[in-house]
Amino acid sequence: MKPWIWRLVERRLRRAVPSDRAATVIGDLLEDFERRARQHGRLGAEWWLRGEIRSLELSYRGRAFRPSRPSRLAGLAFDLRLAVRSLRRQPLQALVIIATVGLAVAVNTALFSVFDGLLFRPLPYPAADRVVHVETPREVLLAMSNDERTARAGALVTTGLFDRRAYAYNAVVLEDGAEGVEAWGLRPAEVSPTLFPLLGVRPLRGRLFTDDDTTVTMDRRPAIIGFDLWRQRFQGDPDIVGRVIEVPGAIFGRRFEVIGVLPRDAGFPKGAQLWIAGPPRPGDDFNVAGLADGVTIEQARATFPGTEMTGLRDHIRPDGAFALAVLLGATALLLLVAWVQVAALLSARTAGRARELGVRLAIGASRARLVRQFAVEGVVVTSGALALAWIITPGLTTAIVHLLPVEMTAGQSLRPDLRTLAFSCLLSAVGIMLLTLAPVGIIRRSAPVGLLRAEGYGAVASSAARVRFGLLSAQLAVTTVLLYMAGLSAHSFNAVGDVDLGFTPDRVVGVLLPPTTVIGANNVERRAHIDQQVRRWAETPPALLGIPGVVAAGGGRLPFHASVQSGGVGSSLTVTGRESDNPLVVDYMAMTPGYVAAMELRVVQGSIPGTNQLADGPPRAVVNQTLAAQLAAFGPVLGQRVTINRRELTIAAVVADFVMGRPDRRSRPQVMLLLANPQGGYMVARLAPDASIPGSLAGIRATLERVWPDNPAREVMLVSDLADTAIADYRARAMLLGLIGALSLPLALAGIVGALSHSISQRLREIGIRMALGAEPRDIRRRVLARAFTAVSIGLVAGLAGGVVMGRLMSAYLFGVQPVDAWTTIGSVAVLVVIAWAAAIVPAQRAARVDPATALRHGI
Amino acid sequence: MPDAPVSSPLGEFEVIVLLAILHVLDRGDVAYGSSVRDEIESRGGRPVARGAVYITLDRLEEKGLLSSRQASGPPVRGNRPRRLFKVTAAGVRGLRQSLGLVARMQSGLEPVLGDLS
Repeated sequence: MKPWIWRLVERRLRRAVPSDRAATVIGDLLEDFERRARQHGRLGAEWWLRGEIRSLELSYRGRAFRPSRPSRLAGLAFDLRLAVRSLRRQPLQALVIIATVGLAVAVNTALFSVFDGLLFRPLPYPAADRVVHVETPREVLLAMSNDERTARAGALVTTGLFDRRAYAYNAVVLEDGAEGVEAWGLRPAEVSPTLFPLLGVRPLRGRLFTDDDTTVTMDRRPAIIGFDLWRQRFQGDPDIVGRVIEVPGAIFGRRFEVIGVLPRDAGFPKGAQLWIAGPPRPGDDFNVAGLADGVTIEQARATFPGTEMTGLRDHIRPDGAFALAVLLGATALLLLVAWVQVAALLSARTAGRARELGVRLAIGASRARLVRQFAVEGVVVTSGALALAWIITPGLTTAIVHLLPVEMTAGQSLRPDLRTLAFSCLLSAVGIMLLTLAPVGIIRRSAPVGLLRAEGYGAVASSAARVRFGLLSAQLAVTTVLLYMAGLSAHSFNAVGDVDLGFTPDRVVGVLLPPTTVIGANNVERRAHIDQQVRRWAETPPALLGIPGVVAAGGGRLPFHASVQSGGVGSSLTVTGRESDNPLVVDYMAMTPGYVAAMELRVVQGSIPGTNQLADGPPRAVVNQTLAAQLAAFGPVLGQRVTINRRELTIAAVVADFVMGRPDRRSRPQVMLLLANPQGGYMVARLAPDASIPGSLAGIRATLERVWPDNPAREVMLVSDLADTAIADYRARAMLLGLIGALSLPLALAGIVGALSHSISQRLREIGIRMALGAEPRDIRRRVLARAFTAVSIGLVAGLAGGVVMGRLMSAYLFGVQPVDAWTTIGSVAVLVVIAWAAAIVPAQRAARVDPATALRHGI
Repeated sequence: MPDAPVSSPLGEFEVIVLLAILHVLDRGDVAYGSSVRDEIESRGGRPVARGAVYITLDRLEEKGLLSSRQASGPPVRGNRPRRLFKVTAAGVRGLRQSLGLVARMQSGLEPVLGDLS
């Protein structure tokens, strides 16, 4: 006996023959084989054996599907097989349904997870409800007298409204653009030891800060790291506590000793992943406080008018809650479109199978059996769709989070939410089951003969066709709304990007030098230290000019930099000789002539004095056009003398308005004190058009290290990068709405094709009669196209109206665009018409090619 | 007095299998899958699918017309048991009904049908 053939017998028969019979059946076969081999030889017996095995398999398999008494499981397997076969018969339709539902679930889950994380999910700080962010804006402080300021500071320290105080600031421990920032995504923070207990955060490993950790050391600065940093950079090292880590790009090559790891998602402030303990600060220097028992945030606000107090949740959550709600609404609309699509496809699918169902009913299938069959098909489709959703949701969520501006997402937990996924999946499963089974309800009541003649379903089908047409119009309307919203956002983004900044940001490098410090044991030492800093400031622009590729350099504020949001706004200005008039509120800053050259500010009146001219004569100032217009009321602007901060300045020139903060805000009146030498940490340098940017940046860093040997630059950055971040939220909105709009287009295409194909197949007989009576193919084609464009017109009218309403609702987030926007309207109409044309032309051609004889013979 | 009717009428192949078992047992042999099949093939003069025999045996046992037990077979089977069949009283009754009906239907038609054996 050759063992291989017996292995074959065992393998094949154990699969085919019921297990309790297999041994005896194989035994019999063995016995017969031996007898046969003796009589006819082994080779013949082996051939015979193969035939016997095949015969046994066929017999037993046939019995498994015998309808007389199938086991429950075998029946299910049969249904599954039938479902797969029927889906494979129309694979495109099945794939479209699976892809549509899968995509819809994935988009829904991803967007909902993000929105949920941004808006609704509790913060990962247990005590957040009783914690407020406290900040007195600079313009409020400037509007106060010195005494009022002192009183406010004292009151904030002694008030009983707060029982705990802490601070959390961005820490300056890493060079900007350094690897530690870029590759590690670190946003280091300097916090008081009181912060984490105040937030209710407990360390995952190690401990929190104590007062002993506040001593500044270069070598082993105690630091707490975040969960993500721990997992991603240190592979979740269990012995991380006590390890001394090096962060690439740390200033002075500073090293950190890890004393603790915070739990996942704890990233206050602004998504920090590395915390150091800051030194003790004056009592009024805090920005986070815990409300005392029984105190409400409203009481605190009423006690300190002008000081901004926001609950931690509102402080961390983006203020664009409404914009997000708009997006959420757009998503919901998109899902609606997807579902309309699926409903239409499934109902067409069932309608197309009326004949099959009629046959099955006629030859004795029970109606319950048919319902079960449809349910199993629904389950197969759902499983495919959910598997697809499961695969793409994580990537999609990450992509959406990356599309959002980092200011909005930092420090939040934005991962695909399993509950949301489960919920979406459940909803989709229920939806598909209902949609699959609903047409069955109609069929169940019909007589088999009616189904065979397609009479019973015919009546249903014509009303279903009307419903479908309505659904299609609604879908196109929703698509138009989405396109319109996307168009408005894109237009806003363009408009905000095209704003005349008043200067040329390209190829301008901004430098943030160390902050002013006063160090020294006595006045003489302190004076010397300050003199040294003043000297270095003065040396810096000439040193920068010495770098090849740098064509202009000067001191002055960095546009779009975080520092301009709070500094120097809201100073009072009076015109000499008109002191009795109400003072003008202006933004006040200082700059050197080199700044005007480096930024390429446009001088519209007067001229900028040279550095040498500034050394003597009265202090000179430059004003922007907005302020010049206000000052014109007091006489000629050039040469006018104004007083600001008790200092009298003579206006030497007027420059075009230039943007410091956000391009979407109107220019405020500005006064720029002209200085011969910079007195502060901001410098700009313009690179020649042919200079290499990385090379020049390296040169600038090296020069700054030479001029400031013990205290190099904190940040070196391109102003054009800063300009991009200033309009990041516009970009995010435009991209998100664009994404949603783009997703709606293929659905619209599929919707039009589906509805037209369906209506043509329903009207085949009518088309046949028309053609038999002499209609030209051209007429038929025109009728089909007209039908498509009727739906498109209804959709466009309704959709544009809806789009304008949405535009009004989101007008706070638009820039340079009115809710009724001609270009957006034209664009939306054009896109939809092109889509409709592309979608309708194929079914229209098909209808025009119908052979009247065939159509009439089919007798549908 | 005719026998009490069995649950469902026997099919042609079922009758043949029952008769084959009775023949094998009558000879004093054991009735198992192969011997039953051999009996049908030798008497019928045509091949019979092995699977059809097994499935019919199973069905007859389900109907209670056969009973089976497992017993050890010759060593060539490699420790695989034989399934030995016996016709139950109900099986004999069912056979009598089916064959009786055929006999009654055929009686008087001998001139037309000729000798059947």
